[in-house]
Amino acid sequence: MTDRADLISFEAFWARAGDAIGVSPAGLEPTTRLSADLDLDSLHMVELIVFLEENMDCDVPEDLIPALITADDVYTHYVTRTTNTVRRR
Amino acid sequence: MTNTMHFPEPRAADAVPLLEGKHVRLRAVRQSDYPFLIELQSGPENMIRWRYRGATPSPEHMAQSLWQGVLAQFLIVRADSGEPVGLIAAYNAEFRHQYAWIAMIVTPHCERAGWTFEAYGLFTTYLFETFGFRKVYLEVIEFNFATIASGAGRLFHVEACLVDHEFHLGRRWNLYTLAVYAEEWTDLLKRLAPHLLPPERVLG
Repeated sequence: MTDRADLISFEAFWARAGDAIGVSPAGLEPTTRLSADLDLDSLHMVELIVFLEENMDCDVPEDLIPALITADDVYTHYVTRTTNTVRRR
Repeated sequence: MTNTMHFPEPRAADAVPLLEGKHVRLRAVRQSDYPFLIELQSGPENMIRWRYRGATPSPEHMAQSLWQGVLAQFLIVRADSGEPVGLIAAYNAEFRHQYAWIAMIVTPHCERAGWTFEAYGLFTTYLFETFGFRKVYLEVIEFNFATIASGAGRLFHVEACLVDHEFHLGRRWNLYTLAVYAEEWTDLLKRLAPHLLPPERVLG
């Protein structure tokens, strides 16, 4: 069985992520594009990956990085990884 | 005669520099790397941005100038496969004033990959730990600066801007001088790449 109790909501996730990378999550929606709408640059992406790996215990494979286009892509990756990790325990 | 001088107890140390991260490893440049390095520097994606600024010097000249003014440089290779992906160098080091300049070039397909930041993190730590610099500088042309501008004031200091300094792509561009301070480096690494924090050196 998958225990999803540890998962946090999209809003809570991005509140923490926004704080980590120095970007306000106000008005952020799942379809918000990281680069085109949120204006995230290369360094923001480095910080976002560190946030995922170090704070959320969520590895980000190299080949996945280009596929992180929207806010929901990042959140979905977090949910998928966290769920799979819980499953494996 | 008895030597009455007393010295502190000698300290042991982990004297191996950290040159490998999760994704990349820095290794010494070999002659057999020259074909890769010539291709890297002369490919269309890098030929304007790298030191030759659009000129196409001979392979012999490129090989010779690879070491001009260089204090230390490493080939950047993937940690998993050893595939070369770039070059990182410290040049024009000034020991009296304790600074050096850093330049880094990576293959186009790695350009947008956040993990190449690891090479910069490893190398900057190496420079601060090995040579005791107070600052390292990076010269960044305007169209490259746009991709890292969010770090200004947070992750690096913008210490100079030469307005309309270089001519590329049919127009003039600003040239920025960015600085990273040794005293801020550990905090910066904790934020950007905590797995690259160097180990405690003094043992026992």
